[in-house]
Amino acid sequence: MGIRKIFLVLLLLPLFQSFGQGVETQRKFAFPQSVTIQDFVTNTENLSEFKSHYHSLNLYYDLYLDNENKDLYNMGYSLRFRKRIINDSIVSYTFQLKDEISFEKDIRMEVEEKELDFYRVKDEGEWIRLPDVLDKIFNLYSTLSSKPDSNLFFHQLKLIEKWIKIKANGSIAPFQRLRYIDSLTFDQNKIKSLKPILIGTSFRKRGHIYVDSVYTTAEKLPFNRKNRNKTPDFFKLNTNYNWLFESSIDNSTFIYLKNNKSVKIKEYEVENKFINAQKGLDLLKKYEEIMVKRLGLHIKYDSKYHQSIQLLQ
Amino acid sequence: MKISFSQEKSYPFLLDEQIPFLIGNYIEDSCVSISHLRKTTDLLTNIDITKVNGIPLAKRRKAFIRHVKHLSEQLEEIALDKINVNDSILNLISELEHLKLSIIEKSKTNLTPFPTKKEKKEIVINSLKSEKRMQYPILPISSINTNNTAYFKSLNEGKHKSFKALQKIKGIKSRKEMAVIFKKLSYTGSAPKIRTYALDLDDEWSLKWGDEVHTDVAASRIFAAIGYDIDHPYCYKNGKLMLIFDGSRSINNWEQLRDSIYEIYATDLEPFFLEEGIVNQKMAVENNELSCYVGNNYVKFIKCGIEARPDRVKRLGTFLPDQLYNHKRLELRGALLLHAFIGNWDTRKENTLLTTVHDGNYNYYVSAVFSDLGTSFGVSYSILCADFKVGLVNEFPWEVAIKKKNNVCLKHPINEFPISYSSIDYNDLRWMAKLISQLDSLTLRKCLSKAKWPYPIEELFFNKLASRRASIISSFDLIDPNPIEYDRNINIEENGEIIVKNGKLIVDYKIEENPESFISKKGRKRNYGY
Repeated sequence: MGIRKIFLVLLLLPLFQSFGQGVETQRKFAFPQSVTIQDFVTNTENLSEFKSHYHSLNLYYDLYLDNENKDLYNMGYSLRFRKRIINDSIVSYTFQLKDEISFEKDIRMEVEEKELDFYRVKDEGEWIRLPDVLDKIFNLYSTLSSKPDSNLFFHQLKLIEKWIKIKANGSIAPFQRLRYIDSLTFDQNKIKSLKPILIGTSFRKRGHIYVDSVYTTAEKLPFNRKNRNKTPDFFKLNTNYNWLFESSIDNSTFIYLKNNKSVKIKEYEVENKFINAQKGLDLLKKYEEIMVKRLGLHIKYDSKYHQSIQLLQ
Repeated sequence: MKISFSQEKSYPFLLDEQIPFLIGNYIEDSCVSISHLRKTTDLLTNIDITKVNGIPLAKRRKAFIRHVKHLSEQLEEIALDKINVNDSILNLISELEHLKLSIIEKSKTNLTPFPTKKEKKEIVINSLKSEKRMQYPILPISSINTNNTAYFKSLNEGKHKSFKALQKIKGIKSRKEMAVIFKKLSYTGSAPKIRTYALDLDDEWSLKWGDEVHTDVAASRIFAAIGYDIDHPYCYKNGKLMLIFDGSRSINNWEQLRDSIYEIYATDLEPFFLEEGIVNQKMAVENNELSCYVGNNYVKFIKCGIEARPDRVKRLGTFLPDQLYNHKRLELRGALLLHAFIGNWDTRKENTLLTTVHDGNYNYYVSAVFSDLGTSFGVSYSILCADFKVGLVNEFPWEVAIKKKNNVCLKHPINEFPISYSSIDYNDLRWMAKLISQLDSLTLRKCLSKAKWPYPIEELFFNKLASRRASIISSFDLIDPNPIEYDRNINIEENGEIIVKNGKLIVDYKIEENPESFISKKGRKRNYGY
């Protein structure tokens, strides 16, 4: 990480912390090729004091943006539209800006435009909902599989470009943050130059990681109590379990739109959800040690976007 | 550029007088200017913008940001389609401007949360000069009225149910017995209070003690019965409210709470204490929601008040009575008479709120709220002793309005005169007098009974309110549609002891159950001490 980046992180860190949002603390592990996902699930269900409850299978579609010079990639950022399909039923859309984690930096910036339903883009005189444009892109991507080259597909991508150009100076959270991070590097013209460059899908098996009340009492941990909307059903039913982290096993495929080359990525991610950030981080380090020592996993830092571009360009 | 509109339809925000200002700031060539619009939207939604004119910007919550984005997106599409502005578009811009100015005002208030010396001096001067200022020459009657706006909704029937209707819209879940979780200490206001969570951790409640726990409840309900939006305070007695300490906060038991409150507010909570203990399995069986808190400390009180801070409602700053020509609004001008009716002294604009309300389905609307109405129903303030107390029934006069020569005079001190109150005339007050005349006996009884005053105090207040109402109706030469009987020489006896004699409370009624006292004028000095 360059001095400029470290400086920016130091500058922005207190800001992120003061807002209590826009950051996530996570660990990534390279998924061993020799292990099947089912075996991994079984191995992680009961790891010392840490228990895992796998609760859902999600399907994510991602459309990453950058410009010709890959300025976002070079500065360690990724910007994507994401469509989530949770357990084949709930569908949501989001627009996210993230930065890379590294050995020196545990915390990852995450700035989200969480609700895209009311954004629209004009296509031949008609206003079309942004999620409808994304739907068409992801549907065509699914049906065209590894060679998304239909005119309709590229027309929808152009609509995304059009939306970006109109909103470059608007109140879209990731654009606001980009302009704030460096208004010279990411001026509105630079933001206008962003366009879709990578598309992909991820099958994600999600799990809760928790400890029981005996461990909670012995370690004098507070109970991670959140409000009704933020508390998973599993913990509403099992009030003696103390929720620490969320985990995900990702099986992803990405296609670089410039050359249609594809890459597959399999990884395990753990994100701190504990009420006390510092205690959560300590517990995360403990969990990380167990994953490395007992399961032989390797820690990795690069985001899926970073890995894909490294491998595909 | 000349654009003229006729406001035939009613809009929640737009006033004719605002149009030149809005056109000057948001419109170019008869269309919405995206660059001007984005300047405002960015200020309100960009969490990286932390200052405005050098002042730290007040916190903008997620729901507020979402609301602003909904609004600005509508306007952006209008701008991109180059639609010529009309009243309805200007109303959207007016709403956005209200949100912006309210947040800026909140940011300014955050800088000086307590009244400055100069402001305290003004409070005294205004209080002393109120009676002289509130003399209104009788004018030829004009039948003015207002439409429904963000500031007022006219009610035809079921006035006593309006508080509950608002409660339902805001998703407030009050119960006969409540349990709340300690969240954190509060450092604002003059009366002791803390911030708490509901058991489901969805909504917050402000827990209060002292002389406002009855007055705030009755006052808010009366304002709601007229058609205004209000805060939602409730009174809890005899341990019906349990405060639980979840073990993860700065305060974890009753002693720590009592000492901290004393340190912050110089108020001893000991007289309000009923019992303390530990949440046990039996309690969890009776109330399943307590099961997470078995083993945690709790405390119950003889008397306290809680005020809802529902998740669906986000509080911004003042509702801007002195800005954007809001002083021209009849519904704000006329409110002065309602303040006088309930005897509310603290009319500072800081006690008004603009709120965004989420209807539960990702739709938002903005509502103006009359907040902190508890400094009412008999206020005593002493300039010499720098003291201040509310809810003193003997200090609540039997009359509030009198007709003297060719004037209607209000006998009621207030501590601030926003432009809307200093510029009103007879007809503004008459409009409100009519609304007050529509409050019938049932409505007043219902509003007072929710305040949970002891019977003799409630009865005395009812008679006094009925008498004050009658004085208003006769001063404005109105016909009373719902005459209410009252007795200015009421006597109330309880177990052979005379409690109320000739319309006056003569005993410090059950002081163990009412530690704040309905007679003693010893109040609080915080904030208002000179």
